[in-house]
Amino acid sequence: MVRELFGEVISNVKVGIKNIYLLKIKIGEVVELYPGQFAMIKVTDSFDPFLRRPMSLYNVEKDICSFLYQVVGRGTEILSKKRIGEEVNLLLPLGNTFPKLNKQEKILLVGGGVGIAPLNFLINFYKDKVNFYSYLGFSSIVSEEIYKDFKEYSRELVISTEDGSLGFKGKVLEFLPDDLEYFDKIFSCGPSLMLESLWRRVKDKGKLYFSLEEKMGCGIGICLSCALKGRDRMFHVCKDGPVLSGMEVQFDG
Amino acid sequence: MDNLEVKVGSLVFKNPILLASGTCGYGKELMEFYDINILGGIVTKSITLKSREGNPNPRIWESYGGILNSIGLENKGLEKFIAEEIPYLEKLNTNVVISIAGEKQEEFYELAKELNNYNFSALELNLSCPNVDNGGMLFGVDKETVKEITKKVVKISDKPVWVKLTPQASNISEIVKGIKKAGGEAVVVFNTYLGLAIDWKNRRPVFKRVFAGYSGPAIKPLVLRHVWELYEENLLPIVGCGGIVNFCDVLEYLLAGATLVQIGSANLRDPWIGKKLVEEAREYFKYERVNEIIGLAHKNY
Repeated sequence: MVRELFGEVISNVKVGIKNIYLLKIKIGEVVELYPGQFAMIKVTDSFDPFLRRPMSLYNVEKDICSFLYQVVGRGTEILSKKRIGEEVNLLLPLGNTFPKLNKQEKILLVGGGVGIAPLNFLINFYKDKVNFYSYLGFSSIVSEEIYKDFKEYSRELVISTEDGSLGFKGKVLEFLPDDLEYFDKIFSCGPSLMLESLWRRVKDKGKLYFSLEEKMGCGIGICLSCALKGRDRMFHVCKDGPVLSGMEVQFDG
Repeated sequence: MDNLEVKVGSLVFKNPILLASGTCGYGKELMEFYDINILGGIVTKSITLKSREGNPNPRIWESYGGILNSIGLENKGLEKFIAEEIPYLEKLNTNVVISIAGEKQEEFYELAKELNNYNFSALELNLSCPNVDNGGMLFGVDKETVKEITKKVVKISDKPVWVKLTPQASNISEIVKGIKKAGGEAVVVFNTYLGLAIDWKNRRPVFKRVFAGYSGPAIKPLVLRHVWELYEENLLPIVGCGGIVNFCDVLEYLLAGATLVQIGSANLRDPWIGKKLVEEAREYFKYERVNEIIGLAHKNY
């Protein structure tokens, strides 16, 4: 059941030079949450900006929910100024989840920018019960804090930045292993161009899962803003997603 | 009689709080959040004869104190609506107003006819959607077209007929006079305002259809003005709709002359807003009837 919770900011720090922030909110109680799910965060009690901001769960530790976000507009700008102790109103849990993983499965994670958020929750959820191979791309350097769990729980971790300030220089897809069929499942979240080229490279679309982003109004399936044309039907990312399989999506480009 | 109860035409509402079309789905989506039967009623997402895919993304964009939307009447079409939604709606213990839309006038008549077979409170004619190429707002700005559609639907339908107006029309009171003559029971004031958003980063309009519908607290004073003017003309019961986000806004609409209000955009921000407003109304109207304050501001200046 979706809840409205009033959490307290316990940390909100810049973790990347491209205005990337890590926000930790103590929600005061333990809520059943799964990787892939998201929250709608009210950035202000005033009515401007009007809508909540959808944010993927980056991690959940007891009653603390973390979110990784990039300042891209007025809403995230306000959020980035929240100080420790300030109250934040959230709606959660929203959306579906990544499929369940089996012990010892070989899982490829491909994350771009703040799109690493749901993958970070996933890796923390299974830790070393599953064999993760993580490929993360950023436009520029980020603080180690945001990929330290990938470092700890991945069989293999490759990081790249477009400017070469951290890891390899280039887009992360350039560094993926050649044989993608080796993996049991592939999970990805990030810019749509990245998702599209990954989708084209993976033959068995059924093992591919994306956590998708669309402009959202409500997050609960009533406004129909976050429509996405799938292969056979229309999806609404907030209710049918945000996780969709490679079989369901369609890329026009 | 309960203090909160109000009548509009032939219908009785347990309180004046309704949820607006397009912001409460078909009812069951919000049932997850609270028992929507406590509301005065809901207006379902507009239904068209054939299903509609809706407009391409983006469909929503923020502006100061409000939002622009360009959903484009995405809906499952009459057949699926009847099969999948009506059985649930018929069981609700509050007023269910079904919003219908069409690109051609004939579609309204066919929808009204087919829906005669089912049990619900009223029809709301969406003659005001700004996000479609045919019908919608284009019907709503022309008083003869509004009158004609209303008249025929009133004749065909066995339910009370409401008309949701567009603020884009230049002669609102003439349009309402036509609706009254045609037998409409109430007018909903308003659908969204036609607006524009420019994506300055990419130097182009945000929406593929360029213009979109503006709603939210920013438009409240503009809508209130029209509620005031229509009340002065004493034509038809007014259902106020535009920018209500809290109970003070509800009072303002009632005082300006609305008999009922519809909550729209606020549902997107707070799924429980309808429940909260009903609870506040119960508190506020402990010793006074809603009826006593409708239009009261007209006596106090």
